[in-house]
Amino acid sequence: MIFTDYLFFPFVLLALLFYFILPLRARWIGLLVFSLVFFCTWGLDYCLVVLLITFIAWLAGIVIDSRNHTRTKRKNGEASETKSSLEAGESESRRKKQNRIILLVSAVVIILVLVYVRTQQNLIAAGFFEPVVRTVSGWNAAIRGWLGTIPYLGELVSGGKGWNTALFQWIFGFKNATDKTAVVQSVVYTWIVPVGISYYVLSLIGYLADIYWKKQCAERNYFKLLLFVLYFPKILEGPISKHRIVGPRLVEGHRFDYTRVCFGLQRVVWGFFKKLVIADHLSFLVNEVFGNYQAHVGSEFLLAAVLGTVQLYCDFSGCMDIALGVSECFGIQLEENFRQPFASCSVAEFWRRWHITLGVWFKDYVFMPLVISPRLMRISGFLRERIGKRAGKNFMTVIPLAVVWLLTGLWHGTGKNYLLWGIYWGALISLSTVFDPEIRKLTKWLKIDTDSEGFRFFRKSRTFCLFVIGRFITIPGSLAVSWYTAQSVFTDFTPLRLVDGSIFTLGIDWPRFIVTLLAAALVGFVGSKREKGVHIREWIAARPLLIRWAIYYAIIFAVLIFGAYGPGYDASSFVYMRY
Amino acid sequence: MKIRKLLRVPVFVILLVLFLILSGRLLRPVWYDWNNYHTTHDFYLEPDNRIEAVFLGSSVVVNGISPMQLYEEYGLCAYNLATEQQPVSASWVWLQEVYRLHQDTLKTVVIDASMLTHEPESSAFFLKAIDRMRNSTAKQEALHEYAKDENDWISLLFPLFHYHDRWKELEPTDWKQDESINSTRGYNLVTERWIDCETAEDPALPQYGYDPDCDATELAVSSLEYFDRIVSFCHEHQLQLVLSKAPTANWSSSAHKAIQELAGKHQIQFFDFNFTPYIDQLDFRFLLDLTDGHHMNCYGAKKYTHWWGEWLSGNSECENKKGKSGYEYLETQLTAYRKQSMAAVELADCRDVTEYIRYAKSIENSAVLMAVCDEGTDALTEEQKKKMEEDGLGKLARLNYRDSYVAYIQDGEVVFEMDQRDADSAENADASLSVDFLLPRKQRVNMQSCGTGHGDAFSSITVDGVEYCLNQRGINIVVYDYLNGAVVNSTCFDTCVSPYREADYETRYAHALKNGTPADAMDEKLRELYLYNRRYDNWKQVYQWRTESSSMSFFSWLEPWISSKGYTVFISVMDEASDSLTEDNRDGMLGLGLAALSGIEYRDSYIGIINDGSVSYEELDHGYEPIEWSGVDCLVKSGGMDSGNVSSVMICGNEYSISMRGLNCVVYDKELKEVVDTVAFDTFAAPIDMEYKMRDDFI
Repeated sequence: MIFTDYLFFPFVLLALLFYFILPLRARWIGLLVFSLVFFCTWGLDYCLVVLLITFIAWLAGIVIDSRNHTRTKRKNGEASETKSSLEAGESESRRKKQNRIILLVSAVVIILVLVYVRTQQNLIAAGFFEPVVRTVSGWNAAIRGWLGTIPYLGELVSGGKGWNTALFQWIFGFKNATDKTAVVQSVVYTWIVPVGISYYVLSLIGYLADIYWKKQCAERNYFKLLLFVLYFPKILEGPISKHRIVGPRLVEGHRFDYTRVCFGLQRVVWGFFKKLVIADHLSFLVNEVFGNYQAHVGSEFLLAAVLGTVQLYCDFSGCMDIALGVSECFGIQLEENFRQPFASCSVAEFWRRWHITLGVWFKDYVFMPLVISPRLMRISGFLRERIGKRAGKNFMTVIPLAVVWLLTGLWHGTGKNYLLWGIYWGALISLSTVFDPEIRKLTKWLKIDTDSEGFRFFRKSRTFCLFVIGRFITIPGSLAVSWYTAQSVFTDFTPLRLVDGSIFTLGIDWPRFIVTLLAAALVGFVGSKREKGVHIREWIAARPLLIRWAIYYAIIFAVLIFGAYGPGYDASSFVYMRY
Repeated sequence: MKIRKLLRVPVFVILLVLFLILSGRLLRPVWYDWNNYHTTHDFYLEPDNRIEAVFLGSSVVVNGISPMQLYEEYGLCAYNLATEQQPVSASWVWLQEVYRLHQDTLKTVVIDASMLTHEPESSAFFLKAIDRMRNSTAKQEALHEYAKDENDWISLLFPLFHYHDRWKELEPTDWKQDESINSTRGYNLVTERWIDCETAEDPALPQYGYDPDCDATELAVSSLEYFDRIVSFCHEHQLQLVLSKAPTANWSSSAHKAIQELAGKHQIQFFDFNFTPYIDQLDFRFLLDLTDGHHMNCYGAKKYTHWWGEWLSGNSECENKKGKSGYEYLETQLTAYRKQSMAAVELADCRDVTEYIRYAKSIENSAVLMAVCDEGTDALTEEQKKKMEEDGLGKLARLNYRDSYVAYIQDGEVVFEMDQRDADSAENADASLSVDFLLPRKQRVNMQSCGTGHGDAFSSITVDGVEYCLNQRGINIVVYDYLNGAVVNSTCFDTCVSPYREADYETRYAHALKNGTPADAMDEKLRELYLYNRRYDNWKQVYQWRTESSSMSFFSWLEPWISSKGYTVFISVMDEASDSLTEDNRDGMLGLGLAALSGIEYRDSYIGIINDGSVSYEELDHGYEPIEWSGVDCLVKSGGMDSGNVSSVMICGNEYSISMRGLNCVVYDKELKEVVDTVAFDTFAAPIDMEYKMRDDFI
């Protein structure tokens, strides 16, 4: 089940009903049950894997946390120890710390490997796992050969139904698999790949890291941690929550609040509006242009990239609205993931407004640890002394940023285009930080009023354009196509194609095109109001009943009538669901 | 306050559901094509427990069975519940539905086998077939089975979810519920004949005879599953189930065999009207009785329905309901049927343009759309012009030579007529006359006319963008049933040349044959019909020989080919052909003019050619070399046992001789330019009138 399934809405209503019927203390159990049901609709196998991962994290968390507390206890309780005993204590402390690191790293490595595998689907297709498969098959053959020498077992093995085959079949449910290679491949494809649903995995890594850094205690109740992992509104596309913030909100019971539920449902409908009326319609155009790029010209690529940007925003932020809206109905506030990103004046600001929780995650768990890392600080100090203060400062900015953006790129995908995309954004942000003094001087020298509306508009437009360029790198799917399409913008622009009606043949006819643009304009208008501090839902709530309901019905029926769903449309899943 | 707030929730939800239902009704499409809407709509207007026979199947049944004709001729109360490409799964649902409503009376179910051999082109046809069916358990089960997943299923339950994307196609008519009845009880009447279509230039022939040695087609698995359900259902409820196959040009022996086997398995009667004997019983001629090669026109449907009426009357429990209490509504429907639907046939038969217009005006809910092409009045008689004046078509009666003209008559009243002077006044003198307007049910009409005096001859009549005008010289007329959104008739009167239209094909054809008009002198269409009939008769003759007996006389075989003109018979001897010839045989040959053949000796070579019934060439040889005769694209060889032992009849590079001992005979139809039959008589081993061999692969 995903948000755009028809069954999702009754599912939410049922979950709400049960949630508010249950006693306050037991409400989290209701949530857990519904979250498990939601997750199980993707397949029982997936659920088992997630239970396992959560168990690893839960166990690792408790062990790390217990080591933390042991050390503290000893420190407080044995103050009058002798010097030798203090030295011994420090040695013990170092050992404990090392153990904690080993524990943390082991748990994180297991989870990270799974994340990596998840985002390496194309590598699997390209035979990335062939060596693994071959090796396992080799072992299998060797074991069979060895077992073949043993009486009775040899008969079993040579009979074509070796015990290991039977075991594989029993474990993985392959009834007809006799080829070990096929079995191993199937294991890789069907078990490991779906495991890397990295939103919750990132949350779990953050959870473990926070325990390690003693920012929080470990969750003692496995099921409460499981609820944090599986909480159905955020399992699809996040937000990437922090356990120490969201965990307590999930398990504490929330009372029914009419206004809150109404606001939540409004946000859900608004999310569907963005997703179904705008994003899914634009996806037809974008897919047609970049999917069939040989048939199109530069102007169409540019239009598709611009609309593809709007599509991505409406798709992802629409999903977030649904997730946050549903969660709001339960009284559980999740972290915001978007804050009018296209109102950003700089790329750095943009990434503070776009996919906020991912940015925060990388900042907290990659960037900051690197910035305060003694080794980097030593190098920075060295550069500060030898080359200059600015070089040292820039080093401490550029290196962590480069690592963060490299990882961000890899998180989005493993193709070269995603790597380039990460480098692109890393370079832009690094350059804007490094050359910030020069840019300031230049604007001052040019006597540009940086606070003027005109200049702010220029900066917003520039940020938008830079994002569109970034989309050129990722939408086409490969660097060669990216290069071809980008080149076409300059060599084969053919602007007439934009006005001769051709654009209405790009998977979206003119009535739908007009409706989509109007809907996008409405989203832009609402965004601009929010940027100015106007809360639309509260504004609507203040209107008379008739107007209020007219607005609700208008939006609901706009989704039902103009939305891209049902026959003739592929049930398009959310773009960010694959991460 | 809190309770008041909570009370708003059900009000909001009730209003939401109400809007959902209303918008769903608004967006749900109305399919008028293939009579789809009225088939279902009118079915539910039928009083319960009346229908005794129901016809299910695809469009071939929609166009083939007229229940009103069954009532008119046999007093049968039947309904045609076939729909366009109706999948067997939809037939199954409809069967349950008709049984639900007519379980006390339903006796016979006739299902067409077309959809058993293949899946429909699109699964959407299933939905189209049952979309307007009322909600029932059967429908819900069917929808559940049809749905790909839960999402699909839910979308099927709520029309808004399924049809929401129609918002951009909404027409003013969508805002009004169509409650009209068309009285055809599911039958879709069309008058166009296949011969009128361009595709009829090389019409597919009916495979007159069924080939029992062919491989059976693999039937569609999903269709079979539902067919099994139908069989069980009928068995359980003691309904008579009959399988049929309406005549179409795309049926095959393989498909027939598969259905025959299926029918045998379930012990069901199967009537295939594509093969003998049923095609003979119908006297069905594809060119005249089909509208497009696949579907029957009203002429074919009349024959087909008549056959079923006879059969149902004598072989089913269906009774004559005429005059029976509770069936009075059928009389009312019959009156309306005759008046409305058969108007199309009457129109097609009208030879006089003024009669045609008067008849068209009398049809209820009709829009008569007229546009002149090239020249439209030169041959009109004074009497016709006077009638036009009387009918309110004064401008047409006084139309200038080669002038443009359009007119619109609605429900018998002339709404407007325009000639080039109207265009002139609109400063549009040099362009074709063009006018746009809306019909009462908001169908958008565009009519254009251009007489030769104002530019290139042209005419066009489009309704909602679809062209219905024949665009031929004279007065082009489209009679459009605006209520049902269907064309009743489209025709053209070449009133530049003749005041009256030519008679229908059958009359003209019969007249031509009666007058002995040679095929070459017939007009293109009549010649086409002539060739088609000739080919049909050839097939029929040969097939009967092949199926009826394995032995026949050489003279019986030769008789049809020498008694008619246009055939050439090639005779070539191989090996030995004289040993078993009797004196009577030789006398018979002599009587036919085959003098040389009558004198054939042991192991002689012989070539004989009979052209248009008379012997044109004979050669008998006793030498040691084969003999040859050659004509245009034709080469005949013969060699007795001592002369090469060969027989060959090469026509256009293809070998047709069976090359068997005795007389090898090939008959060639010069008009059809094809070989009709090839046989061999082993006159060495047996008397000539005892046994013959045919080429297995020939037909």
